[in-house]
Amino acid sequence: MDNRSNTQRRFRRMIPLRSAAAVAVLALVASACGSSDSAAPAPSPAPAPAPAGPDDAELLRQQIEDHFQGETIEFLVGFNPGGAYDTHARVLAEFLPSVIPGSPAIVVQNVPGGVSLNAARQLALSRPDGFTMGVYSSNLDFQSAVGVSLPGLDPRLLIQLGTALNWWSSVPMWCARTDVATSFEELVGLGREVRFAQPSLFPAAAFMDLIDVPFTNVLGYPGVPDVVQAVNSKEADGSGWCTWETFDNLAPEWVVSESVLPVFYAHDLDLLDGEVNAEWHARTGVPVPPMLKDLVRLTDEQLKILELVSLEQFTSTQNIAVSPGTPDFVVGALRDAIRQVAESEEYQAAMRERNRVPGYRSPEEIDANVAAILGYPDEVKAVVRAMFEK
Amino acid sequence: MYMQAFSEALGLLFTWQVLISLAIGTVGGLVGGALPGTGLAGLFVLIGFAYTLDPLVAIPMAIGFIVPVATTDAIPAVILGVPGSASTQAVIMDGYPLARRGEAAWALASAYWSSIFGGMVGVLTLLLAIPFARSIINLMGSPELLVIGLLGIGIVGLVSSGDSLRGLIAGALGMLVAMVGSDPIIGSTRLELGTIYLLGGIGIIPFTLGLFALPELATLVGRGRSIAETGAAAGVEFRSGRSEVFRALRTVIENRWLVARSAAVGALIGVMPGVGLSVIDWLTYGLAKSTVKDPEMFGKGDIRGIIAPSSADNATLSAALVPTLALAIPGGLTMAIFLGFMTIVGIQPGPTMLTDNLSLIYLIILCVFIANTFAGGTALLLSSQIANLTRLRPATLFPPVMAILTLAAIQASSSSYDLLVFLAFGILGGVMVKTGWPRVPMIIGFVLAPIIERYYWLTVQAYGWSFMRRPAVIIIVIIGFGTAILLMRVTAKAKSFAGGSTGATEDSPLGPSENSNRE
Repeated sequence: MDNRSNTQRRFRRMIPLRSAAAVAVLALVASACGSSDSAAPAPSPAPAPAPAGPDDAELLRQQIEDHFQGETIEFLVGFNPGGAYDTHARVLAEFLPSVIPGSPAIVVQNVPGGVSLNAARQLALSRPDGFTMGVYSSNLDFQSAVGVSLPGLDPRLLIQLGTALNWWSSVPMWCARTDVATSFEELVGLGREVRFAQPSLFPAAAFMDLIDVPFTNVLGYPGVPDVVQAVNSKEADGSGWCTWETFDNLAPEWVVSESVLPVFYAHDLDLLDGEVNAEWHARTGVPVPPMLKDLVRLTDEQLKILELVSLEQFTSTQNIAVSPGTPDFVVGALRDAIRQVAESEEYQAAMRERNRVPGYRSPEEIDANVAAILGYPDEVKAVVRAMFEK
Repeated sequence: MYMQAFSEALGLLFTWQVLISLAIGTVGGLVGGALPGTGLAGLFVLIGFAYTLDPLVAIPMAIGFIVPVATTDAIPAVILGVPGSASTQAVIMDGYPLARRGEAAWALASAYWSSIFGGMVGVLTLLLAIPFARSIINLMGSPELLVIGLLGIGIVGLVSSGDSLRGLIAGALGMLVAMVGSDPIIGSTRLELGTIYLLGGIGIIPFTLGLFALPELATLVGRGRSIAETGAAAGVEFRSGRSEVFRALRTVIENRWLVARSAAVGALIGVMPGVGLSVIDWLTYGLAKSTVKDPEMFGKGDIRGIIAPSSADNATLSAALVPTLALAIPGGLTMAIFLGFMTIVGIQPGPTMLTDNLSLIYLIILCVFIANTFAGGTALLLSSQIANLTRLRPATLFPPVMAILTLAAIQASSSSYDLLVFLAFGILGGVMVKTGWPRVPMIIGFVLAPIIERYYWLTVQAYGWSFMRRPAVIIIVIIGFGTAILLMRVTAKAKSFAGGSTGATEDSPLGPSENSNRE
């Protein structure tokens, strides 16, 4: 009797263990089925034959509509919710269904990590059917172009669709607390290391290590608001990432009280589209500060490196792409849709409401920018590559 | 200006769309907080709809999702001994032993009352501090945040185990696990073993749930008795019902100064961005243990071990809105998500809010107050029913709990590798329980490592070693050493009182449970 009741007790104890094992197995199966990070891409569908002439435009439209009808497009975002990338994607996701034939639903999914590397890789591995698109940092393209090895990804294989957010003309200024200095000469003449708080080691900041200036990058602040706080609390003398958005949205008191003002531009403005900055200077009355290349004697090689660093700013976009092998007619449809949305007044108004500058850059322009980077001398690219591999 | 904005906010509050949105969010937050690891899930779902929602609907709903989590996350901590969120680890220390003595209802109700009062302190802090946010936050820089983080590591090593050395080693191990992926300064990769998955680091949810939940559930199953039957076997009667709610209220009133100072500490540190809720949880627990007259029962079922962190948590959550709204600097992951949420909805947090959207700020404050009070009140009404979960047989409780935990472990990233992490750390947790190693310091080390590393590098870059001469740093270090000395004396006294042992042991398939090793 004792043995049987012991057995019964052991059996009853086993029930939850077996239930747990069953649940765990089911969860493993469910997550494996749902997980996209281990799925091998399916063979791409056979591309449809290109239309023969103008009369086939309607046929193409019907084909696109049939392809997207009732489908859902997953829009991967390489950063957390609420940031510029996420806002870009979510606002686009509201407008795109109305301009894509077939009106597919678009669901935004955040895949943060590796400065959008995780999202770009997941995009590259997705099925080439146009039902997965993603937005990632063009900095990955730049890094790849100068020869930085990105684990598990060659972003140049992704098919570009364009971008609907203007990042390239928001050129960061190097600003300093006016109680420290009001000009580049005063900064250099302080007789000590000048501390600039940076949200990351962007190329222009790394460039300062190559020239003879007493500037120290203080790295590690999680975001621009933290950089602003560091300057306000006098933990740093200034920052190399003072964009017009920083002044307008995060530190409006800087201009009003003249407590922090721009001192110089590190980037070569002659190579950049500084339209937005020019408008800000005109609006606020803050004088346009001089450029670094006019303040410091640079060697020819340093000038070339600065040119490439400035090109990194010029090519700074939030690239929207699909996976390699996506059929041409699908790619064409998505490119047209993004261009239409980018050019619509409603979209532009929605972005401005969220303090984002709308804009459009075509996939051809994005590809041309990458080609321009590739055309730089290897020794120049090697120096810039080292900036990313620190 | 302020009075006008406040009256506008009151007018906005008493509209059907705001009240209904707040109610929907609060119910969602109540449920989300009660399920371990899913506190933010509701907010993530809401983000998907945020663009289409009116700000007056979206923001109250989001507040409703966020605030109650700090109240109901005590449920898994007390009932199962599993942290419901990063801010309820300390509650496990005394909440779970109380549940095993059949006093889960009293423990939960005490946590809720403390949450209500602590939340009020937080709301008051939010109301008074927001206009002066910049000036207040300027008092603390990277050095101060660094030493607060180190203080958190040090205190947890002292409070969580009879063997402080093991506690500190476990904390160091947790810090090592946190370093997998990339560094927070320039993003260089380390310990990722060449895999893409580990580039993003080990997820906190599968790590925490695996380390805590799986061993505790295995212990429960192995024991073959309900959670509350442990106490029953020792002759303690299971207590529940409305009388426990009033008993808890009397307890909280008797310890009103503990509630007040814990909430004050939580609010003060919550205003400082970047510190994290886990530090405040343990700081207030450690401060409580070191300042009460009879701390012998801390870690074995002392109700004050629940009251202190619970009141601090809710105060912290409200206070963390100060830097988030006024400076666009989030105080932690929850605030970072809320910050992004506001941007999607079309509201730009930051200094311009104080001039352009002051009435919205006051509306948010009012929503926080209502959500906190409503959540606490609802939780109090249900505390006895929830406490009855401790009377369920393991065969009944285990399958749904295991399913929830498994889904929670993978819901953050939908990656099957998170499940492997969950299982792997579950095995590690079981080994640690079996061999008497504390797990709590490991989690604290994991949570604090990125904070400490970031602020260490910022401090060294910006100040060099001169940071040690900063007055605020000196004050914090003195407070820290003082607390540590008091805690060591308390620990030594408890050991000598117990005749050299650190607590009773119990039979378990995995050996002595962690409760028996707690001081």
